[in-house]
Amino acid sequence: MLQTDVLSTGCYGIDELLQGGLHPGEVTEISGETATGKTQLAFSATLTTICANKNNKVLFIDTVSTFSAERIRTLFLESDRFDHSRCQGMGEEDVMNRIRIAKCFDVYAVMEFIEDLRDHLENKDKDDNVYTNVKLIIIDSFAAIFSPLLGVTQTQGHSLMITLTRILRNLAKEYNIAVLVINAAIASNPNNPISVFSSTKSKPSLGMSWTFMPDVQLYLTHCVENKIENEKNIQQNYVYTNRKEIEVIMKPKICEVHRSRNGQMGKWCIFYMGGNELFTHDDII
Amino acid sequence: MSARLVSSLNLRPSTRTKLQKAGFQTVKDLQETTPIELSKEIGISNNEALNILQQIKKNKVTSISASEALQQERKLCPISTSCEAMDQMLGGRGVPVGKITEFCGAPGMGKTQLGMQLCVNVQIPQNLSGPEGEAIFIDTEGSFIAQRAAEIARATINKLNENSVTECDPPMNFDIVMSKIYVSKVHNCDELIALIKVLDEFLQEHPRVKLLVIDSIAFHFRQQFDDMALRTRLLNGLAQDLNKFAQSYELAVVLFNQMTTKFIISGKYNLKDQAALVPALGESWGHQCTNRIVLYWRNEIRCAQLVKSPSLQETTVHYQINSTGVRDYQADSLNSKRRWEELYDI
Repeated sequence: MLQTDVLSTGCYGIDELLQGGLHPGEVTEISGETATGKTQLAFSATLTTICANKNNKVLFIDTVSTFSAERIRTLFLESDRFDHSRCQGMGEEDVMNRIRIAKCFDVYAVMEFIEDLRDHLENKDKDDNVYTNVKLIIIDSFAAIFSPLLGVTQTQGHSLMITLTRILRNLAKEYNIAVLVINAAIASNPNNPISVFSSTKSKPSLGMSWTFMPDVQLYLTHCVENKIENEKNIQQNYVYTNRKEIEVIMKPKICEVHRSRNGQMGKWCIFYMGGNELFTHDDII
Repeated sequence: MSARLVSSLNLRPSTRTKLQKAGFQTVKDLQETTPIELSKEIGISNNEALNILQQIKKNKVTSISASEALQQERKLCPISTSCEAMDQMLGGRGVPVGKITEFCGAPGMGKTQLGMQLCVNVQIPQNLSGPEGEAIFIDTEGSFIAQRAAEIARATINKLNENSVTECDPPMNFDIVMSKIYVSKVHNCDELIALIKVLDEFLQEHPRVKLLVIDSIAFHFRQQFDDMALRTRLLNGLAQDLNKFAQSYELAVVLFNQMTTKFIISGKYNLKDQAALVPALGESWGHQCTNRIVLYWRNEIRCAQLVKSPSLQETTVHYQINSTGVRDYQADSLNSKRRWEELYDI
């Protein structure tokens, strides 16, 4: 596979953990505690993909109404990361038109939509086909559509989850699309055995059977004080001055690889999030 | 569409088995049949067969482009909280429509007051750049006091009248304001779930409803639950329904949540075990709302901190609650906190 096919998430450190970024044909999962930047990372990946090539399209399946077009617009217009694309003449209108949003609030709606998508992709010659050149499909969030259906005694939820993932994987392989799935976190007592840090008290939701589904699973947690021993470089409130000379307070978060089919497990990085920016420590220094 | 598996339809397990046994694999196999044929063939009632076929034929889920989404978002009118700082924190004009916003706070933070204030403010007419809607207040704790709502409504109307230019035409009428707050009291979580299930019909009959308040979501779910997995499932199902309402009827869903004490056992010799006040209902519930605001006291001032939002910066603002409702913080109103402290002996 060509290296250029790999889609960057917009954050260098996280790309590194993912062997370059989101790989077409693979299902990448980002899960994590609330307010650790899962959706921000999804927005960042959306815009980075859109800006990488003037034909690229992104499909965002929104199940918890987190998608904010206003936010995407602000990110594109104000984040330092997209300066380059703006300079190259990519307009706001063009960028916004290449992002498609589908609002689905239960799993049946998602199923219906995905089948419709497959129909569209199969009949490529159709005029005004809005889905040709879709490079990235994001589902935010997977947990919200499945958690009402998952229980020890309920098999239907599990079977739907596996069916949907299989369909997504087929689409991904056949049309060279990267799939990014956002998952939530649940409490894990006394700690999370897969995490590198013994103080992590949560784990990805959706249960055991889900852990076999994605190719890569990233897990985001808050970087609270004392979380990492012997690490001196963490700044709790990093003040970043952007190009417009506005100071933004950035909060540190940790991203670790919980499992990966082709990369190294157990790797982690600290990234900073705040305002319109998202970057790792290396980028600052 | 046609290649969709029958097993992915929203059906009862027994019906699904019957369909599969009769050889219906994909939706395509079902497209040619009529309800009566289907009911005879697999031995289910006509109604059930009709239900299956309706699911196949219903409107498709389609996607829109981000520019269309942007236009839609800009059309929605947020609901002011009457506290400018808080409005700013929430994106400039108040509680967003089409999303779930959760306020968490200890007792006495003014959650219910905020709820009532929003019920009044949602009715601010369009010419005063309000949403001109109606409100539903689902009261689980028995905290909705009409007397207090009336006070807040009067104060808000007076404030609007002061600012309005045409004095002969009052922008809001007190009786109408009170009549457009639909209050429903629920006494246990079964009632709450049942109410949410039938709310669809009510919202169709009342298209002007722009605000749904649940005060509080936690109350009934914090008791009489032995099976915590069931609780999580019920809550998530509830959130899914609320999300659907928020989007399809363009209404703001405002939930109030209680706080709970969480013990953090560090397990390390050099760190002390700690206790922290966190929003109730657990980690998984935290993912369900779009925006989350935590209300707390800091140096005798009421603070509201935005802790979760997909589109806004984490910020903390001050606010106050007085006889007229929720207002911007003014430095001279410190006494309420002291009263609270005496009451709880902190």
